Amino acid sequence: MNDLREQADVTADRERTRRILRQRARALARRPDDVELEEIRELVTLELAGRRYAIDADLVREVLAVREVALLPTSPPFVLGLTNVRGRITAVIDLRVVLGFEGVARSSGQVVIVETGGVEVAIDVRESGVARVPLSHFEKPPGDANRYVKARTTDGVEVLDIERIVGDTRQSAASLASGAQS
Amino acid sequence: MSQTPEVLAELLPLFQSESEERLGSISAALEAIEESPDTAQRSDLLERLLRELHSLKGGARAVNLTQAEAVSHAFESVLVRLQSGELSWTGEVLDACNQTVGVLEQLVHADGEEAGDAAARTASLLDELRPAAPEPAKPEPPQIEIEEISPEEAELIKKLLPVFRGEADERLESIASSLEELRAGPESDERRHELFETVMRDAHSMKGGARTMKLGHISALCKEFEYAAAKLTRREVEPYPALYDLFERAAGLVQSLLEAPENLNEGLLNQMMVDLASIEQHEPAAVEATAPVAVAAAAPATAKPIATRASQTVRVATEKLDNVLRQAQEMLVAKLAMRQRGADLAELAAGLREWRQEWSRVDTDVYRLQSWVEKHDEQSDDSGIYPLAASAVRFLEWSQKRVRTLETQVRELGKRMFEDQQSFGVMVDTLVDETKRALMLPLSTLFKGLPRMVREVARTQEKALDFDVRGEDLEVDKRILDEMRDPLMHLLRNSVDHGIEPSAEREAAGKTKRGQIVVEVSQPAADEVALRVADDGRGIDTERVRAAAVKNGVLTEGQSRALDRAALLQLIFRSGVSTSETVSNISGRGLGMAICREGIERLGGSIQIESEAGQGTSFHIRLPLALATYRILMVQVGRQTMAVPTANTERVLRLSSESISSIEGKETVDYQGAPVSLQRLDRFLGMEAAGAERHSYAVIVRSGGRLVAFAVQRVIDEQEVLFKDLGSFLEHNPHVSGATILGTGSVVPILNVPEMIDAVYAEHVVAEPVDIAPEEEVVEAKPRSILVVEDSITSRMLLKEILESAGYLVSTAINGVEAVAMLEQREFDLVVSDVEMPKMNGFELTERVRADERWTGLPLILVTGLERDEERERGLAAGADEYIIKGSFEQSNLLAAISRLCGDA
Repeated sequence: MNDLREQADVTADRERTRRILRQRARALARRPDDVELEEIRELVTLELAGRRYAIDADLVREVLAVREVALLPTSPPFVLGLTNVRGRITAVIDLRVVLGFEGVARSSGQVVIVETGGVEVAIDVRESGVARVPLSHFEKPPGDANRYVKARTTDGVEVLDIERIVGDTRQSAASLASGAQS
Repeated sequence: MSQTPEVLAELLPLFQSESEERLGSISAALEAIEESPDTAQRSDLLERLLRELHSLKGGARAVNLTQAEAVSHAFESVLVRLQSGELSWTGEVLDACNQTVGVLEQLVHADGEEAGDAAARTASLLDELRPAAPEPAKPEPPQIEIEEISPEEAELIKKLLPVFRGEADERLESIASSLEELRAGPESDERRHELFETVMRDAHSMKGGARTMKLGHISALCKEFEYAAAKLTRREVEPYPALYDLFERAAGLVQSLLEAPENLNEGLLNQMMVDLASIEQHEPAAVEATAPVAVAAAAPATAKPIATRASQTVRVATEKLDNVLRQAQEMLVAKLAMRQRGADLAELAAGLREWRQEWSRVDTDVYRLQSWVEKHDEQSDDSGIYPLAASAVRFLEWSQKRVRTLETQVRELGKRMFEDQQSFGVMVDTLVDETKRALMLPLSTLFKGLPRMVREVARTQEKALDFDVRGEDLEVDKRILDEMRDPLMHLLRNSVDHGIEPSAEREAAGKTKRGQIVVEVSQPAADEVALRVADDGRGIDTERVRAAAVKNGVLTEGQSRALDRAALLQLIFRSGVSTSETVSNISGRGLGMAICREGIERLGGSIQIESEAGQGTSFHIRLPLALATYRILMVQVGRQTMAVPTANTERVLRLSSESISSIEGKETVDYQGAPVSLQRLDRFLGMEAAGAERHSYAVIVRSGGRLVAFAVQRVIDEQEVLFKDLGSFLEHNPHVSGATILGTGSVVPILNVPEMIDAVYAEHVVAEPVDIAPEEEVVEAKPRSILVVEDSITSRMLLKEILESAGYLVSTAINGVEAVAMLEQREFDLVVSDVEMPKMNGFELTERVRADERWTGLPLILVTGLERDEERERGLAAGADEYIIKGSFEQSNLLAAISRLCGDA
């Protein structure tokens, strides 16, 4: 019995080894770029209101601790204020407000700096990490998902559509500014 | 002074290293005294000893080293006795001094009281030094008539003297180096001419400074010096070798007069002035004959300081300099606070005056009471009033006298305060100015390491190229250089990476085998530097840029088709556009050029690109030489710090419940006799914080002739900061125009006063102030801004201080070129300019201003030391409105001329 099982295990191992080797050979045969772009996605993960979210690492410039956030008067509720990112003034936004969670907007001391379409903004986050997720582990978000969630991983991490978030929030801030002005 | 242990622990090592230097200097001075029997030199050295020791004593006190302090004190007393002639430099005294230095060395480093015995012994040794046989008394210098100086002036002069000394030292050094070059034989006649002109200008500036400082001898000597150099400049006299000796001796004499005015030798001075005045009647023999005398007297003074100063540079960590600048700028706050205290005192004096006026109303009553008391006594008055009346009258008489004295004292105090504030202001401004100058570094420091980096990248890319840096070495604010390093590296890396082709490709295209990359520096304007980073590589393929922009969604295909070559080139500064085929983490994400441009624009500069396919690419960068700054008033709003631009700030008032009145339910404060709408800034901005302090101040802001008072919790201080925009996410905010980052790293939003005032006027129907205050008055309330053009720092700071104290806003320029640049940038109400200046003098500046339509009617006052009639005529002919001679120049003259020209009087 044991022998048979061992044999089966060995065979399975060999099979697996061979499969892995084949995969590697295929990977090596490809141009390195494609491996990065197609097979694995790098995500910056964050936690908001107890749920797990992620942002494409491509859009993330850096993750920083910020000492203080200066309040900015007459700004939309999702704007926490201004902070100093390496000598540049950068707006800090609170995704919990954007995603429609309850609670008081307050800076947590850590931000993820994202840049998209020439616009840079700091996103307030409590916890953050980096995950490398194979492309095949992404799935479409459920139908009732938030409009700012563009994908989901098989472990239930929701990938945020940062371009859309930045675009919408920026527009809303701009219209508030010009509305208050007139 | 008692310090906490932690502070002491930090201070001690500082003190120790400082003391080592000082003790080293003391030892050297003692050695020099031992070797030199020359009295004048010994007294110089003695002064240095006293200075060093005094600082040492102060330091020891600050760090609680009582033993070291006591010994220093004893040592100092001995030196004072030496100075007064009570003691003389005998072997015994020298031995005791040297011993003391050794003991001090121990004491400075001793933690406990180990060196205590030695200290006690030394102290008694020093105390017991007996005077030697009295030295023959030094002959008193002859009394010379010197301008009357009021005590106030003397005080101001005393405080400005170090500034003048520093300036004169620089001028003397400049003269010395000009003479050196002249002696060596300048390369061209033109250069010779230039050098004489420099000498003339240096002498001229020293003359002006000395006159300001009421140093009559130096000023007279410099005047002759200047005229002599002027003759050479005008080629009235041909230079001859002995002339340089004469000039050198003249400079030496100025130096010795500066350092030890008490050693003045009138005969020598007069001889020198005669020699300078008669250089055209030069007969070699005559000059030679006077030479030995003058040299003997002037040599010791000249040889020493110039020789040592030439090599005096120190390496300082730039961080320390940054801190010094920050601290120096903090002093500006103290300067403002002093001004405020002065105003407080004036208010106090006004209160007392009011009291006196009230008194005069009841004067007759008191007098009648007085005479009644005089006529009566206890017996004659049966009403029982007499004792009460008598004591009341006594008190009234006493208090009238007392209050009158108080009023005089307060007024006197106010006057002193004003003088102190003036001299303090000069010192602070000088400090800030000098510190900023210390932060200027040669541009070449930016280029250090670049050639290696370029070679390195070229090697890894297997490309052959030559890298060259050309052009002037300008001095640029270190903070700009720091920020420029990365962008410049990026541009150069790009040039090697994408620009320069491999040799084979170059040869095929008919180019030289080796590529060329050049960084070229030039100065297009007085306050700007231009960098050109150019390569002769393949140029930028705009088609690829277009494709990349479309692919990354920066533009649509259609939009991109509409762009011409120049517009397509501009796209490389947009993030997300990269033409590089290999994507790596460092480059190729299309961020590099965007970051480059961002960095340069953040400094107030600009970058342009030029590129021909196949011909190469060049980037044109323009940068300011110094960082542009912005003055803000920091206030506390709720719990947050916010900034109000000083330019919009009219006045800060202290708020009390009496100062607020209510008109139709709206709160107002009274300002210049008119009600101004009062808004609580925290409520206005929606930033009310629970438990915030009460509103103690009102900041009256102005925009377009309209005023609003904003109540704030506190006024923190005024600072010069860098204005930064709100970043790319928030392009606009209704009440905040930008922000600044303080030295601590904190972000402070800067309020947009014009928009806030608009909002207040739109929301609350506020009575426009026009019906109360006539238009002229509104205009008048705004302080006039004056541009002071003057190359001597002493005179510049003095003028600035005088004008600021009189309520003007003052900007300064160091020559005509800079003045024109500043006039182009902003509006001034009046220009006050010196005549003799490098680059563009006062006459040229006047002509330049008068020739330009933009400045029609701009009043211009020339303030100068040139008193020759033809100069005065030239000044007025050039179009100056006033011509004030420095010698006759008094504050009131200048101020009267200014207010007349501004139409205020």
